[in-house]
Amino acid sequence: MPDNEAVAPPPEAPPPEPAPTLARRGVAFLGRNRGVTALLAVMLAGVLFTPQPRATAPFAVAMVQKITGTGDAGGEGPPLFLTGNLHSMVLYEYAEYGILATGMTLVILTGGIDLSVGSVLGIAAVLFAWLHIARGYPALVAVAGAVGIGMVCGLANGWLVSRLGLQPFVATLAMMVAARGGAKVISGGVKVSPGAFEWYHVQGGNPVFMEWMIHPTFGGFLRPVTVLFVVTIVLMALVVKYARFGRHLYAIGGNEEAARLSGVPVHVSKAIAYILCGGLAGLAGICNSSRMMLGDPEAGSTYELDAIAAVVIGGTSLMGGRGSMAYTLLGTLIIGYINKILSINAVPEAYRLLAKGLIIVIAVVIQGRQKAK
Amino acid sequence: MLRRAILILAVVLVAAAIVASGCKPPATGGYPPTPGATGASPAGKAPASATPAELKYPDKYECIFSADCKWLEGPAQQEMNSALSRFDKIDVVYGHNDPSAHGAYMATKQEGKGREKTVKFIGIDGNPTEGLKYIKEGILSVTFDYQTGAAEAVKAAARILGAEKLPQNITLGTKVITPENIDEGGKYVAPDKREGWETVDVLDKGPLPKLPKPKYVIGYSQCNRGEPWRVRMDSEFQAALEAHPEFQALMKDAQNDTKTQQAQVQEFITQKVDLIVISPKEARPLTDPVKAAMDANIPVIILDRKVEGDDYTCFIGGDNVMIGREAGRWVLEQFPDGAKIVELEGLGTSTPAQERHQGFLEGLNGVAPGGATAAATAGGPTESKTETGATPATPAETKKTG
Repeated sequence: MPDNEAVAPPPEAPPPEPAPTLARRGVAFLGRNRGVTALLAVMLAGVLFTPQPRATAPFAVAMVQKITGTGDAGGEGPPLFLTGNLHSMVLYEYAEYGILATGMTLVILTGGIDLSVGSVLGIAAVLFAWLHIARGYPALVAVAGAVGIGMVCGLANGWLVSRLGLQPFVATLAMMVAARGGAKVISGGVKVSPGAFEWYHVQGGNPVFMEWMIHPTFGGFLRPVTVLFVVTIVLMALVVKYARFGRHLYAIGGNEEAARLSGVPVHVSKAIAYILCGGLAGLAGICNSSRMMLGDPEAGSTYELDAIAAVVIGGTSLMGGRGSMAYTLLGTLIIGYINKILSINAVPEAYRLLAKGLIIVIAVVIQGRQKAK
Repeated sequence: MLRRAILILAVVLVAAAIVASGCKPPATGGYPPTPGATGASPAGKAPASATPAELKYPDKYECIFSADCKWLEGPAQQEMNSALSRFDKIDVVYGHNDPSAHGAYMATKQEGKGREKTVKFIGIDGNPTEGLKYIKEGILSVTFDYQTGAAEAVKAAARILGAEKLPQNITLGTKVITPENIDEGGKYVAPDKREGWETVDVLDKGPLPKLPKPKYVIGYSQCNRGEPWRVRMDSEFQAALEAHPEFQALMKDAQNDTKTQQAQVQEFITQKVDLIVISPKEARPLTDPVKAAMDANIPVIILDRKVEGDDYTCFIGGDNVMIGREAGRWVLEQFPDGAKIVELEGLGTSTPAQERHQGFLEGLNGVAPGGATAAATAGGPTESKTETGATPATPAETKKTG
């Protein structure tokens, strides 16, 4: 019989870890959520690299100049990044991209992609302007028309992808081109603006609805365009997280065959994702048209790339099945703030494009390593 | 379930269509027009002039061929090829800008019959890298300087910041540049007196006022740097700034994107600059940002293309009708016995093309400066209704492209 003494005593339980402090918990949270860390890093860069009012150099540079006495590029007051105006402008200017990115997330979660969102934005913007300015219908009718045509384009995409089984890239590429053509047909080759043709119903002035959309009407500082973006992304976040449809999207993105076999309505869910994406592109088209006070058939060209970049930088995987709307919001904010910092410092476009490319690569690499852990 | 979704969608669309068809478009005037935005020019009360619709090419000066070349050299070359193959006798080619004239020259040269030595080519713009170079090389017989107004904008800024009141619309002159006078910089032609406009010499009346602050920040937004003419505007602006060390400029390029330019004006407002100089891409989308700047007590000087309405401090621009008229007069001088003319026009929907054509006809018909022409086109590019709506996107959006 084995002797009890011969058995090594069980290893002592390791001493209990000290209760995690708030700081340690915070650091652990940041480590797990690289997206939040990235946003905080961008905001720190914003504080350092935006200028003060009436300054001609970024805050950090001006401070260094003041300390070393080498120049006088400073201004008066805190750097612009600490003023509310800049943040409300970022949200306002990137609302369209954010709405597009929201729709794009739905599609990307299923493992697909929608290259047509930019063109659908264009056709919706043109139709909205045409119904409201050229034909004189009330604003709500024009809004319904714009969202409607977005959903029709989305339906076409969804049908091509789910019923006919086309690759999403190919199907939405075709829609991208077709919708652009449709926009040019509706507009008649001009920018739809008051007085562009003599038969237009509105020959001058600014439509009241468009003015309403772009001026701060809520609480004196929130513009309806911004509010629309926030409401949209919050709504879609709730849908994706809590509705059955949301869970279906994740299942399809994770493993489509397995999802189908477990009874998930794959074709319908995918189609609805594309329809919603198209409808949201329609909303973005309305925002675009209001900001420009006209319907531009070229509106939205190359926006689809920014939408995809926002989704990817946020952390959603292009393979599908992983990600969330919160990530998309992060991605939109990161891109928006970086663009704003570059724009306020008048960085030439060439360097901006290089910077954008670099950021996308860095973001994806960081996320890859995070997942590998 | 997909069927159900489609059914619901169809019902919604049909319902929307029914509601839409039942809705009556509101009566005209239901949209509050922004002041002056209904196409009214600063010269608002300009009488409908008798000249525009009636003018034709006079008998001796026959326009045998004309085409819309969209300001570009490539199409100009193609159209010139057609003209060359159809007509044996061509005396003069009137290109609405230097690249068009140059394209016509290249086409004539490539024809191989040596006609480029006998045909005279007229250009407009006078950029150092294009028009002036072509004059020196003997390609163009004459070009007309389309002034950018950038140096004048700096003078205007010095006056505005010194609390001087300037007229709201200032018109620039031009220079007739030929191989004979290019070394002196061409012959200056003073601007016409137009109703609602002041001529540029108002900026030189009296000494510059004393400025209260030691340092001023000027925000400058250029719609694109793809056209040599606009690159010239930027460099003339920076050169003029050197005489004013108290001015610091934040120069921004909108890359021909309206949204970017809107954001740039907003940024200038947030940055609390002392003055904004802007050359807008389009009138309509930039009207609101400019108005916001004016509301924030930041004076705005507009160059070359206008915004809608009259909520800006000062607009400085050239007079294309006058330039066209000088071109017409030059043809009268060079060809007293008549000529066969080929006209290569800029983008038909853009106001400068219309004005340069109009002015050319006036010059050929011997209309005097400041005559009926003063009332003909009394505004910037937003005058023509087709301009705001009809100009397609790049590159045709621009007035001239290099």
